[in-house]
Amino acid sequence: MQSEPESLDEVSLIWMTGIGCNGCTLAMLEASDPGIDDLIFGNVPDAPRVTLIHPELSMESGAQYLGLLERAASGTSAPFVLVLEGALPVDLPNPGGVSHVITAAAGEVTESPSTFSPPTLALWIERLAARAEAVIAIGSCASWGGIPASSGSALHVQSLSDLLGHHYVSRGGLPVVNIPGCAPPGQVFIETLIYVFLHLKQFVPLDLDEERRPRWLYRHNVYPLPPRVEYPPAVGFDLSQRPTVGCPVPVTGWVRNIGGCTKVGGSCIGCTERDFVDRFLALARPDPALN
Amino acid sequence: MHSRHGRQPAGDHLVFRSLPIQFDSYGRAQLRDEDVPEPFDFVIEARRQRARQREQFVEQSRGRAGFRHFVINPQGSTTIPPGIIVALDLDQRRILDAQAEGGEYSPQELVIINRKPSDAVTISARTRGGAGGAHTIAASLALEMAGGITPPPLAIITRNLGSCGEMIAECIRHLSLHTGPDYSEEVFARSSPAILEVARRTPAPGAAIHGYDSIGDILQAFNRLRGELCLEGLRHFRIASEVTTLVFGRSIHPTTLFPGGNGIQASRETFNLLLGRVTALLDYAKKISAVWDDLIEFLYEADPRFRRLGELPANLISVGLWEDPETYDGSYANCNEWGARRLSTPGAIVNGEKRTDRLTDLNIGIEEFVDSAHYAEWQTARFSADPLSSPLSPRHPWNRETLPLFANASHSDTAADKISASGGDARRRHTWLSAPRWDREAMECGPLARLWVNALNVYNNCEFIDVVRGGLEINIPKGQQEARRLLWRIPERSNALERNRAAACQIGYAGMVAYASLLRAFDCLRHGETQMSNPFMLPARSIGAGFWESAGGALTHHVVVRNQQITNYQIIPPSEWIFSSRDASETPGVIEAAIHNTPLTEDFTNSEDFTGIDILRVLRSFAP
Ligand code: SF4
Repeated sequence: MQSEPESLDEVSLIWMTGIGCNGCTLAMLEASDPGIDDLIFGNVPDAPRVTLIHPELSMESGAQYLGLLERAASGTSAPFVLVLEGALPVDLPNPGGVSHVITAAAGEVTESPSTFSPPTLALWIERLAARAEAVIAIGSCASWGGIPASSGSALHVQSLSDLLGHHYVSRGGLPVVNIPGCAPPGQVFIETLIYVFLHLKQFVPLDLDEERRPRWLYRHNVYPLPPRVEYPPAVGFDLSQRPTVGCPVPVTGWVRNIGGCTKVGGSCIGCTERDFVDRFLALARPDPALN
Repeated sequence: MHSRHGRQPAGDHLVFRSLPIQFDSYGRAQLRDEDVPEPFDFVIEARRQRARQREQFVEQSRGRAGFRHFVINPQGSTTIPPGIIVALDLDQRRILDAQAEGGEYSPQELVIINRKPSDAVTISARTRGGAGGAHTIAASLALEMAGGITPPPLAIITRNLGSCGEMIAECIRHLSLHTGPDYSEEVFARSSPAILEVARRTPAPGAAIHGYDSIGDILQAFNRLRGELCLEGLRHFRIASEVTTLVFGRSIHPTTLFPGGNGIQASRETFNLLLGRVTALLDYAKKISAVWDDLIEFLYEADPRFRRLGELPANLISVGLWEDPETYDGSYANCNEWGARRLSTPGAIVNGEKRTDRLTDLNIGIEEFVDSAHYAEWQTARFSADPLSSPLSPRHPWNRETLPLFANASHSDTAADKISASGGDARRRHTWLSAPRWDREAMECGPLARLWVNALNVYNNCEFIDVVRGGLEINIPKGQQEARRLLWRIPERSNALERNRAAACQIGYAGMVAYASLLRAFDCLRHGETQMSNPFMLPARSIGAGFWESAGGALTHHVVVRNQQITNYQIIPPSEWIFSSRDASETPGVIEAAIHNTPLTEDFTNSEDFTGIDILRVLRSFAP
């Protein structure tokens, strides 16, 4: 069902975190012109004023925070976009005790009854996704599983698309939008979010590629390569023999056009790709003699 | 430079009080008694006793009307939270007990095993978003030690610079987005309206520096995500991230660093871009230190109980960071020398008393306990001594094996296979963080530990930072703001507010290290020293350790390489020092002890209007 575009002047951004490193949150905070603060203050033309509901950044905490999630999940709050950072654990690596559940947020203090068993993250995500205007996976963990899913990790995790299924469609008519990268540049997230809003308002349709990534950002190719090193073994690659990965960084840089992996002499480890530490790391070793 | 390598602990000064290690007349470490069969296999009975008394006390209080259990999540991760379960008596306004639960399971240690050594740099970076640079450097150091690799001076200097950017960004984020709002107008309006009233009437002594006329204005500026100080912090967080990005290619999980060097081009342009940003951050440092000084002194005055918020005995550890390019050679044999030349020096302090400033002592004193964590005890200890023949505990990270105990082990056959039947009783295991201890003490780490260690070490390695009697002086030159000398004094105690003050001061400290590093970088360029990496080959078989600090505190990486593959990798991040739970002797973890000591300052009449803000202030005082 498509929601009415005129109801989209105020939108909540519900940010949930799974198993990850918090790096995507930092990337999001780093972006500016516009940044998340501009969205919060309603400074971006045609984008709604955003209320950030983030476990460590939002104004609400504790029972108030859980109340916000509950209202969103039961469809009695303002329209919202759901974002997941981190991978979703499938079974709990925990022999009893509190784990993988939303116990609290932003420093909640919740009174704990003796039988403390709050709903799991996956359950919250499923409930919220059913009501969300759009659902975004930020980072390679939420998009593909990332390091928690890599070989040796001993964890069993899912990506957001694994959980919601490939046929999932949000209220705004969109599949799960993937913004992979470990981490992706914050600007890429903010830009995609704004385009999601424009799509929801029926201004510009969102252009996603077959991996459900924003096509215009991820159509640039980059070669996984070692860093620039000043000794012979690392130079002279035959690029025609090398795979490429799609990544916005060669064009956007890291922040405000500064930095950006291979642009400044660093390595590309193919961090936007599925299974990147299992597939591409070998191509990025600074000492190829070891390969 | 004096050689500190052979220096012995002076007089009857003991480095280790609990561990059975002593030093001979050449300063070499040895076991106190060679004939004791398992010298490290002991527990400290008195602590177990105290723990039992506390448990009994909690049991007795259970029947009271005011008895409550609360679950608290400090960082707000919505899964696997480093949650704390706190038992309180609300009628008596007392905290009875605190237990660190959950913690975050980091798969990195297991993912790195069986890979090529340089992969550790990339994978370990992803342990923590805000400490990717610190992990990358610690992994590079561990491999440099294993491989006998020394990067060229300019590469070392850029490593320092990027690390300063990350440290500053994290301290700013911590103060403006996390714990700053704990002291905001909106929070006080609910928790202690009387204090807010006084604050509004109290002029701010540092108004000329920071521009806020009253303390009330400062509190208002800390309102979450709307207050001026929060938004100004966000802007400067971004500037600091640009500093990191300019030298590391990206601010989150850098991709330019590797053992032996840094992939960026050393250009004058890069360093000029850095200089502009560092100067802006230094101006901010002058202001933000004055803000926190005013706020903290006001709170001490308004309600002396703030002095006891999160109070701990001064058990502090810092492994130091920011290499001196002339001394650093990556080797373990010389690590006490290059450690002592770092721009923030290493050291351990127990009960306010300096125990050591040598990296080797810090290293051999570390043990990891898994008694309350979801890990099995490991059965074999590979190393009974470090490369200098100093004794090592079987619980030392070079010996530890990561053996997670999963509820459903079907996905981790290899790990599960290794878990012995004596895995321990599952009821007591309640966290994913193993408990690191130094000389069997739970040690606090972070900006406060770093400044304190430097003040007691008296090395004066940075030309702009002076050790003065009882503290540090940071001389910040004129930028857009006048030159200012930040003064940091060793506080009477370690508590929540002193941790925040130290984090504010750390911005100026790291800023001046960046400034000093830039001057050296320009020097290198003038002399044509532009080389950014040295060739390396890792030996097929070796061990190494990397010691570095993230904003949150001490970070160690220990690696064992066999057949050109990593066979063991151990990471002890600051979060394990802070958020871990009890060890074999039932020594409470840092966060648990800090909560035990916390008075409840907030106004409340019943459990419904109890917000627990004091506990949150303690939790969030551990940066970041
Ligand atoms: S250039 Fe490579 S390493 Fe850098 S963000 Fe893109 S895919 Fe990741």
